[in-house]
Amino acid sequence: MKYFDTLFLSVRNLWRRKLRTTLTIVGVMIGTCAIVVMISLGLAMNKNFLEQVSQMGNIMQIQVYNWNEGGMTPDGKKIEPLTDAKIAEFAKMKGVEGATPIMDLGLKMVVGKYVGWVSILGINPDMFEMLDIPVSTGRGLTGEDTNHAVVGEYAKYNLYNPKSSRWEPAPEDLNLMEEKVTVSWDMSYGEKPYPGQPTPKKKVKPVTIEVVGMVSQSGGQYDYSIVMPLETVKKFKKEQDKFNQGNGGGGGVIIGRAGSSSSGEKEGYYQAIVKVKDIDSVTEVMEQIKAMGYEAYSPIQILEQMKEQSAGLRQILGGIGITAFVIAAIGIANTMYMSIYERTREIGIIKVIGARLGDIRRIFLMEAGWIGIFGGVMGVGLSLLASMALNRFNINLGGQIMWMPQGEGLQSSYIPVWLMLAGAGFSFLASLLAGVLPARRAMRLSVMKALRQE
Amino acid sequence: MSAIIVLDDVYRIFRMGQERICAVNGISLSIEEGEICCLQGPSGSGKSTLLHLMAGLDKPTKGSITIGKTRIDKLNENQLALFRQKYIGFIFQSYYLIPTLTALENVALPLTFCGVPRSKRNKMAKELLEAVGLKDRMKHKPHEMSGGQQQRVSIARAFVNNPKVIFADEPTGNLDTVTTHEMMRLMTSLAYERKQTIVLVTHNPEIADYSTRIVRVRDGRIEKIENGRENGYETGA
Ligand SMILES: Nc1ncnc2c1ncn2[C@@H]1O[C@H](COP(=O)(O)OP(=O)(O)OP(=O)(O)O)[C@@H](O)[C@H]1O
Ligand SMILES: [Mg+2]
Repeated sequence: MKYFDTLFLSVRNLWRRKLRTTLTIVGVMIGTCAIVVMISLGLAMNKNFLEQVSQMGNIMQIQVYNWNEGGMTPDGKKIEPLTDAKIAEFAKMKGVEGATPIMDLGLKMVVGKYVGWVSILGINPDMFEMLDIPVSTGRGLTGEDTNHAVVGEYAKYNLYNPKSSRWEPAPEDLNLMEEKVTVSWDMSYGEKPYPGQPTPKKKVKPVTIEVVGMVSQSGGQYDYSIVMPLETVKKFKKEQDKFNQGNGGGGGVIIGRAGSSSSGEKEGYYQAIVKVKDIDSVTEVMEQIKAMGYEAYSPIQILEQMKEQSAGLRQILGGIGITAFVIAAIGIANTMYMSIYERTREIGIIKVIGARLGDIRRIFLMEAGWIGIFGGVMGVGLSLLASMALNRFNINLGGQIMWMPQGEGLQSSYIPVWLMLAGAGFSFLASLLAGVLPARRAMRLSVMKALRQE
Repeated sequence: MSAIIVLDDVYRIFRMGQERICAVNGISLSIEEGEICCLQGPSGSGKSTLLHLMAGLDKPTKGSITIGKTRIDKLNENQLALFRQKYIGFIFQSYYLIPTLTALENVALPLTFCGVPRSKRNKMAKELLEAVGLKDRMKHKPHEMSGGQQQRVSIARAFVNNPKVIFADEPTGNLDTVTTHEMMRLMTSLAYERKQTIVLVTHNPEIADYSTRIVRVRDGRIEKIENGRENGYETGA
């Protein structure tokens, strides 16, 4: 029997029992919908977690520090310094896109008559793009950059006029991209010396930096800092050290974490950032780095915790969906059995005129399959409607992290494409399964018994 | 002429609880190619059971049944289905058409199971429906036709895949005398043209006139075999 003929015959058989077919399809539709919606609630929960956690920092980035609580590697060895070589090693790990040291240097920023402390972050400029620092105007750093800088939009709030007798901050509309910006390692640059403070032996001329871009709403340190190429920052650091030694170490007020940064290949860096390729690698890479004795941190830890805490709820949701679907599947099996009882005589007739066992099984399985496909596709459609309604009326079951502000994009239900396909596919397979037993019964019916049945 | 159906000491015993009913009780029979063989006998004598055995719809308890060169009692269900597709047509007293299919689709159905493409099987089915005089009823469903018309459809269906043997169980049992003769002429002329063999069961003595041989059955045994006319078709016409 040709495939198309079987298809045609099965559709025809369903069509002649319109009401029952419709009711069965509705049953499957509701079952599929139940499963898809329940899963979509769980997915939305996870998605909300992810979105909110992402606001705490880039979830694909791991912050690495050159220390840990125990002060030793897990197998009891001394922690090796976080050198360029080590960082290159991170970059070669499986699932890692790249790694850069971060050098944090506190300097004095000078813009016209305003001065202010600023934190300069030195990174490998080739990695700038990879760090996903949101540049709002201008451009990011590239490998050729030297004294170029990308400045956070809040960095200017540190600027004030030291000559003024009252507190005079830099004006709100100061655009650093249009100003001449200089930095100095003399931390008291431009300040009125305190009474009794020794004046520096030599004056230093501030170095001009070229602001090529602005960062806004990075949600982290970049908003307040200046990002510059690593090599330039190392140079600044050397100059600063020289200057401080020249001034007996007490010449400048060392503010911030400048002291904890280190410039070197030998003593290593204080901090590094490792960027992974995909979310699934984060935990694994983090474990590897921790095993080397470094402290590694990523917002994914919070995410995992959240997911763990909500796993129970999601299981309950899935359970409800599956129950609904099992009932629908029983409905299919029932319909198929009924139609076999009804058509016993007919099965006998088609056997007499040459239908093979396989033909009969295929006809019945196909009928069940059609019910599954139609029910599944319509169920997915219904789920999409239900999902829209849930999101519209903001019926939220969870996924709102308590201490986070109510996010804009929080969803109640989230149906990705794979869930649609899985929902329809599952419905199809379950229907086939429900059709297997009835189809076998039809197949095994002996010709004479089937013909005799009224 | 050579034997196309050979039965050798065939038994069919039904078990009803403790009781054993020998519906076919040791029948040996040989039917030649091109014969129109008529089974007659009182009700309950085992004619239908015998016919079902010969058509491979039922299995003998004992004995062998050969059609052409094939021992059909040895075939499994799928082999039997294939065998029926190629060699056997069956006509029932109550037609047994599929109620949801049109006349044309009913006649084409055996070809569907053979895997004949749609256009070809529709052409073949049309030819046969024309031959049985239902040219203008092709698109009708069974319930839109008279009993005689339905039986014509079922005859067309039995002949459509050009089988070697056609079995008919009281094909005219539900029809009036005039229609009965029409049906018999139809069947015998179709079979004659195609050199096919017909085995039919009937209570109607008039039908015996169309047959080359009459086998009288009683209590599951052959009581008597009478020779009929030389040629069923010519006699019928
Ligand atoms: N499936 C069955 N189970 C039990 N007994 C059966 C079965 N089929 C037939 N019989 C018995 O076998 C015997 C022969 O039945 P069969 O139908 O062959 O008779 P028949 O000659 O065709 O009669 P009729 O002319 O009335 O159709 C009967 O006694 C019947 O009761
Ligand atoms: Mg009978």
